Amino acid sequence: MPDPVVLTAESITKSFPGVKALQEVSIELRRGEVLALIGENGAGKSTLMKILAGIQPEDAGELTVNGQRAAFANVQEANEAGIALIHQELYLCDNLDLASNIFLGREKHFAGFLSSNSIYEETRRLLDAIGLQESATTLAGQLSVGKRQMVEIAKALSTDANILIMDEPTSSLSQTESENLFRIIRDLKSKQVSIIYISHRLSEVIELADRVEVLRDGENAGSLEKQEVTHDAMVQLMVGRELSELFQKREHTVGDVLLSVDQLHTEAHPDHPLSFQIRRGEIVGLAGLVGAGRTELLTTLFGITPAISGSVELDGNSIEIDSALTAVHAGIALVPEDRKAQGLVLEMALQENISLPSLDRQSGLSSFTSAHREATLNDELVQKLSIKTPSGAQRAKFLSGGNQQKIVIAKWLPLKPKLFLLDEPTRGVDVGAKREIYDLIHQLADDGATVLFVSSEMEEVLGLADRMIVMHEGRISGELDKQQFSEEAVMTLATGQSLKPNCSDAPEPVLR
Amino acid sequence: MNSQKTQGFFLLLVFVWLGTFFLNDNFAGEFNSGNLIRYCSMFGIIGIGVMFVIVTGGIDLSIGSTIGLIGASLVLLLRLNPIESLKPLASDEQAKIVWFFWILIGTMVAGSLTWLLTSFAQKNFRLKKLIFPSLFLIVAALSFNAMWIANSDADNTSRIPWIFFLLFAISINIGLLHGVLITKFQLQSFVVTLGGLLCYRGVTRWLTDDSTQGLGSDFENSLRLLAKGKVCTVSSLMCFAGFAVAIYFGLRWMTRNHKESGHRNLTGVVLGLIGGIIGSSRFWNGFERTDFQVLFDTTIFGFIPANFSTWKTVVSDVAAARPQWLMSYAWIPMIPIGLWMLVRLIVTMRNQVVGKPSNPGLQDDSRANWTSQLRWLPADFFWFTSKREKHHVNFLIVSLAGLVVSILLLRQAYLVSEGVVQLDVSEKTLWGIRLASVYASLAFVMISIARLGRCIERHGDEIAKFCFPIVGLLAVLSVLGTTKLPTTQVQTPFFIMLLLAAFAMIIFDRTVFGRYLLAIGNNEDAARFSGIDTEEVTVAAYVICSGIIGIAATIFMLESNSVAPTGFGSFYELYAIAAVVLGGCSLRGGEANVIGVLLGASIMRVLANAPDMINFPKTLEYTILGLVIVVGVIVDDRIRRRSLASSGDD
Repeated sequence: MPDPVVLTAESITKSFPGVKALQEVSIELRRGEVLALIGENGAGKSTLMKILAGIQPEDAGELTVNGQRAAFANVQEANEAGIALIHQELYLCDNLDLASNIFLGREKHFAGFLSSNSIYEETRRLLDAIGLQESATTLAGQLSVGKRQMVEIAKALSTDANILIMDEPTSSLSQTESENLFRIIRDLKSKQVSIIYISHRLSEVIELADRVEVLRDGENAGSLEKQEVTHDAMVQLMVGRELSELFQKREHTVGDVLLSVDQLHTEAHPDHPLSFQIRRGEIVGLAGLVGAGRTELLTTLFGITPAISGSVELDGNSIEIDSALTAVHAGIALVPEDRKAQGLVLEMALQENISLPSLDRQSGLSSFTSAHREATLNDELVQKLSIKTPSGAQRAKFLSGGNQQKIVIAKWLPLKPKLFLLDEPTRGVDVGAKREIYDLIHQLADDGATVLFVSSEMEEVLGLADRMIVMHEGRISGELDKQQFSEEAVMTLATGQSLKPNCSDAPEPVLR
Repeated sequence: MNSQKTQGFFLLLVFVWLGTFFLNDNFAGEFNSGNLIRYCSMFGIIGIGVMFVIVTGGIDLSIGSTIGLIGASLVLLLRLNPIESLKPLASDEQAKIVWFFWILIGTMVAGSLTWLLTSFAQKNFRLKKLIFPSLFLIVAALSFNAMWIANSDADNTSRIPWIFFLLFAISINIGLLHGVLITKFQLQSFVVTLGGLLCYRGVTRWLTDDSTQGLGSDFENSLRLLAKGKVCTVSSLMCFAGFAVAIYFGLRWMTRNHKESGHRNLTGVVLGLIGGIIGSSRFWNGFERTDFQVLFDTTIFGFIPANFSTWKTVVSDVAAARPQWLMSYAWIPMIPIGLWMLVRLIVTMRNQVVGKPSNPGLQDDSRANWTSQLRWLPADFFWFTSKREKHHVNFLIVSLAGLVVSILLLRQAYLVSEGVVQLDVSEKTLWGIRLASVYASLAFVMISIARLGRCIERHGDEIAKFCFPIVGLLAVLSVLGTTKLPTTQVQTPFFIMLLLAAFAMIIFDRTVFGRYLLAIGNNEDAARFSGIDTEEVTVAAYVICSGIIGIAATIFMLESNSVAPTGFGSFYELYAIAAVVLGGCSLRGGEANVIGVLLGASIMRVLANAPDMINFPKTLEYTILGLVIVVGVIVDDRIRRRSLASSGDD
């Protein structure tokens, strides 16, 4: 007889302005099982988890926890029902110590005065249980990313939750830390705790999951029992189509060296100098785990965080990039990772966003803006990139993710940059828009621009790139040519191991 | 969008102004109105100044102290070598002040020189980077000359322009200092300008030895006209503005496709013409005599030839009274136009109930509908925004009945306050009754008009929509006709404010720099990621702010004619910030609304002036201001959210 069901979500629907995030999604969770929830970015996993954890209310649908109807107004209520969410982003206060962080919001007190002893004792017990060798009085800001993740887990455990939701917990963990986490998960499982495990790493899912639930474009795509869980079956459900459908194989004419980076010391990883070359017309993927220093490399090249030392040569000219302004003048464009925080001025109109980088060039010496010029430019780009908007005067915040991303790319086009740096160009974008963005990237390369893009989606890097640079903890762990592309090779390099000789039929990758 | 934001505060301004006027005729008298307009303009100027900084998401707390410092410096510099009867400085004081300004100018020169050299030495040198520092170097070098002349025994005609230049240079350098500390040293603007607030106040007290500085009566008819010179009357302003509006809408009417904008352009033309013609009546017997010419004759504008006397004639008393006389008959055309508007409105609303206007077969049925709505009348009475919009008949009845009743009530309240109707109660009670009845019935009138306007906007046809603003303008004019406002003299600060407001509007609406300011205020990261030199733009915002404050400081100084080192200008930063907040600009930055800021400043001045006029305890002035700021912003936010929610779906 199967274990009793502890949590069911039925026909959950949720929409945001412009996007339907979830449509009639149902899942159920049994006691003491690990349910893996997988799906592409933007499939609605995080939204579903936020609803389960009481961060956001659902628009429609029914939640049942331990046989009782539940509607959580806030996180507190979800906690009381025994549900705890471990965030993908880390929400720890750097200025507080571990014990205070773990008991934040649930401080033990007497008439408002903190009674600290008990929480330190409790914290020590929790840290022991998860095998973290840190004192309860350490400040959270002093810990590495991996250890902070462990503290988040301890925090979730401290609520005596019987349903744990882990949102990509291993995305910033090293191999040993991940192993440790798996051990904890198995341990919790034996204590009849139910776990919803969200991950992009299919090998982890195969190792851990009792059952797999797949989401695609905000809908249930299917579920797999333990014995059915295979790599192919999961990809089939996640993508729902052949990869070739999304990624066309296109050949680009590759020219001479455009960008040559030599011994570049970034501020984030000053100990690991970076050297690589990119040729004209190439599309180069920058792969690696979260925290590998890929975004930092791009922002350094764009002058947001100027390099400590090292030389950058663009188009044969040595350039010293000390600010974004110099980078733009040199012909570099960056599409940043977080489009809402860094790419767009959300309160401004679409056409104002599009003209922002080229405004001073448009206006020439007069330094006056021209509504007519802006509208012309806007119309041209809206048509070219098929941005869906009622008008150029629509404020950027009212557009959907895909259209917003197109604006961030479109705003650079009038400047005709030589080098495009794209950081997660399709994060949170629906499949249709993804396809269009890939086409656009190919188009850029065909027009002679060079593209260096960061992506955490394996399929995307494999399908889009002509060549791949893999990073691990701030250094370049290897480069892969198109013939060497495979998921295993990327994962091996991304976790810091060198390629094993067993893929000897492929030529030896260049290791630096 | 901007008009929506400021609507509420505009209505509040009208409400307070009208209510106070009904309670005390002197409120709209020439003397008080002139002062009120002057104060509104001066606080509007500092509001515009600080708006430049608030738009970037920063704040400037040092405004009051800067005004104190610049104001005191103006007197001290004039006293360095007084030609007229102004008391000269004691020799040790003189030495202190001269040295202080020399050191200040030396620092300015050294600072801008260093800046220029470091921009040369930058790794990615571009010629554009030199513009800013070289401008400041030129200003510093000219200040050198300015100080030289200010300290020489040249006559005031040549000294005063240079003294003004020096003061302006000092104030923009204060802004530069703030900007550099905030961007290069990554300090918070609150901290930097808080330091400035204390620092400049201290310098002012040290420079003046804590003694009040005054200009005496020497500059009464020359320099001080910059702050108190009467330029022209309200009605002549109305004439120019009216014709300008008429021409503007006339051009639009001719050039645009007027199917899209309906009769709006034509309405604009008619409104402008009415205002223009009535205003121009001021000139029918000749041009008016003001301080206009004297103003142009003063030292500063001495280079402008002053031969205006050929076309300037004195306006006779009859001509001077003409605008009021004309306005007092504005109710005559108002009645037929108003009635025609109501007839059109009722006809269209009736047709809307019928659904198919030309189908006679449905007439009887529809009449039943039309009257059956009436049973909801008592309930509909309480709906202002009317969720029961479909009962538009009731809506109309409620608005019209409300209008009539409330005007009668207002008239009764007015009679009581004028003492025509005698009440047998104590003085205090009578005062309370007057206050409450006037303000309450006025609120009722305004609500009724708003209801009627809404009714016309929703259900009226083109003709009703065309008539409504005209009736409104005629009504306003007939009220104004009973006041002295049309013959009130508008003084110089108002025009300086107009210039600065136009400057600010052009910057924010039409220039690249203004766009960058808005982008930085909204999302500084996105601006930087777009290759904008955010630091330079932010510094420029502080420079402009302090420059405008410097201009305001001289006006404030000349207006009050004396500077008390501890008190002059204190709290002005808070008035300015409050004006910006009331004007609908968020302190988080990214929003600029020049008209709103001017309205905000006006509301604060009117609220400061009104208690005096109605015997309300003057000591409660700050309390009223505080309440209006907080409640006003809450209400404004609610209204905006509601309008966003209703328009967000399209």
